[in-house]
Amino acid sequence: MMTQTTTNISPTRMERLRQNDRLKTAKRAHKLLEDKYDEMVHKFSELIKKNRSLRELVEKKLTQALQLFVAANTQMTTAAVDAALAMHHHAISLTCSTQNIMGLTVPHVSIVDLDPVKNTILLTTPDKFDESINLLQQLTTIIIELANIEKTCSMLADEIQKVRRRINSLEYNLIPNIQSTIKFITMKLDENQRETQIRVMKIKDMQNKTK
Amino acid sequence: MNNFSKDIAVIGEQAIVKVFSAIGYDCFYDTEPDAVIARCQALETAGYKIILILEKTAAQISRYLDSRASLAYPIILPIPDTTTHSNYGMQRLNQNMEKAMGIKIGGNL
Repeated sequence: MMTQTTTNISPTRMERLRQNDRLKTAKRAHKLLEDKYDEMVHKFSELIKKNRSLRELVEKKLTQALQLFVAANTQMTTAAVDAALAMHHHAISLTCSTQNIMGLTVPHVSIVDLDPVKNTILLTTPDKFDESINLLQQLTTIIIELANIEKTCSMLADEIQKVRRRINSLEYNLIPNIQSTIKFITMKLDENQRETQIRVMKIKDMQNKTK
Repeated sequence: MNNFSKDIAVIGEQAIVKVFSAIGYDCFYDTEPDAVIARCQALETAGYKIILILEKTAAQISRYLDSRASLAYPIILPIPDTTTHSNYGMQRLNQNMEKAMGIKIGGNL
């Protein structure tokens, strides 16, 4: 890995102290971000399992319900469908808030008011029509839960990606750069010290010779 | 439609999504990608929290869906339709998994 030393900094003890502080902070941030990353991945893997099973269920049942409705539609006139849908009208009310997962604000939706599932059967409508509506009524809670979990998973995935980039940037860029800057300052300071020592020795030598 | 619940909306072909009105969702019959995007923006402004879109249409406006990914609300959820089996919802789920884990895992986690 190539590291880039900041050569335009002044190689002083003060600067080395400052760089040492920066290194300490960067290492602490790296550790904290790694902990955050681990926890987020753990949470994500729990949620994604649930997401997958809910989606499979919703896809299966919803396709079935919609196919039944489309089939029933062919046996009825548009006016009859509209009238039957109005008869079935079902109210739903949600509370929408947000919750915090490792500093990430994700949605939290819950049903406040849902009419109990009534297996309403109208005499004028085909069986498939009533069956599709009953199936959809049963799916309402699951669809809302799926929406909640899928959005949370999507937001978590984005955040995990961002955190991983930050960790990599610290691990492979910032920390090595600071370390090489400290090394550069240390070498310069040592060199200066050696130069001064040699200069003093030379002066002493010259003084001894003149005596 | 007069009594909008302002909670859940469904966008898609009339023949398919009309049934959702029976369970309290507000239905909008747009199918063209531009019209669907405009409808989504209008619904977002109106304060809808969950918007269901048929997978066929959702696949065509994936760039718009990506642009809304960082917002908590509205939750835009692709749902399957009866005619095509694009599996767009599952594809997005796998994309999320790839994004989070860094690798594509084909099967279950």
